[in-house]
Amino acid sequence: MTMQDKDQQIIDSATSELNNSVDNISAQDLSAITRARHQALELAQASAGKTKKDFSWMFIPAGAIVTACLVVVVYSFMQVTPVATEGQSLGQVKQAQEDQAHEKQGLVSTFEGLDLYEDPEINEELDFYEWLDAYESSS
Amino acid sequence: MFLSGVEKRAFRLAEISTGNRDDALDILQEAMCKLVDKYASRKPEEWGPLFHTILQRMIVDWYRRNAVRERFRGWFGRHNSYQHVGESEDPIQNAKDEYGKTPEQEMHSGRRVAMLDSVIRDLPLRQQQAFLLRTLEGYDVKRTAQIMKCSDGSVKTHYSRAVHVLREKLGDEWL
Repeated sequence: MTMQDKDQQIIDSATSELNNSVDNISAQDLSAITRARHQALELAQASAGKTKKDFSWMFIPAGAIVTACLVVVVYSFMQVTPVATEGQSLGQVKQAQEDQAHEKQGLVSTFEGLDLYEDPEINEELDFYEWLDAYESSS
Repeated sequence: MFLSGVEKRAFRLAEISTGNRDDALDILQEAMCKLVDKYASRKPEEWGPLFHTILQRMIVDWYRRNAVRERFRGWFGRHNSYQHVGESEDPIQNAKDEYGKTPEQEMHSGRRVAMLDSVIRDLPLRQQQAFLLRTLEGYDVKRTAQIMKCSDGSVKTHYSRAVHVLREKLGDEWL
């Protein structure tokens, strides 16, 4: 008999003995194993329930944050667009809108003016154009 | 149910590895808890390897704890109180219900299993794991390597060495 045959014989015998030992687990041990399984399942269920509770508790601050954000967004829109309120005619509202538009334009032009007339290169160009006009008209 | 299908073999595996029935039950319960708690949402075909990975990790932890305990006992000059299954308990309660076997057969069978358990328990942990996962659980080399977190080659080496030791220690009489 070769070593390989002997090894295979050992493996087969050991496998068979181990399988038999599983089949022959005592009633006392079987009952303890079943109890262990039930306890494991109960513990897992309990911890799952606890996790659910924790999540539900966390919905309250999350909801409050979302509501606060919505309020801020809505309020900022209300500031930009004038809306007819009690005691205000539509004409007054339009006037207010136009005033607001003019104010914005004024601001833009002021900014544009600042940009435009503070740039030295542009100023040089304008001087050149003025000189060119004067030269052409004199000639 | 998956757990009821694997629990007996898993118990035997833990019992052989630890040599202690109560510790084996604790390890089994903890492994079941962890599987249900963390991996219940995984695919059912993954449960087997996952469960055995958890079980093996628990057994390794048990070995670590036990090694520390033994070191402390050594320092305080106590004898090794490592107990084999059922040694401290009532032998009548622990007697196996093997209806239909003669007392001689029963004793012979019990002795063979006890010898095998003892030799497997004395193997280095990695050889023990490879041998039990291949023979008791019937996993192939690839799955065993996945559970043991090592290469296929390592599993083959550990398994081959384990078989060699078993052949040496059990001898022809056991066969």
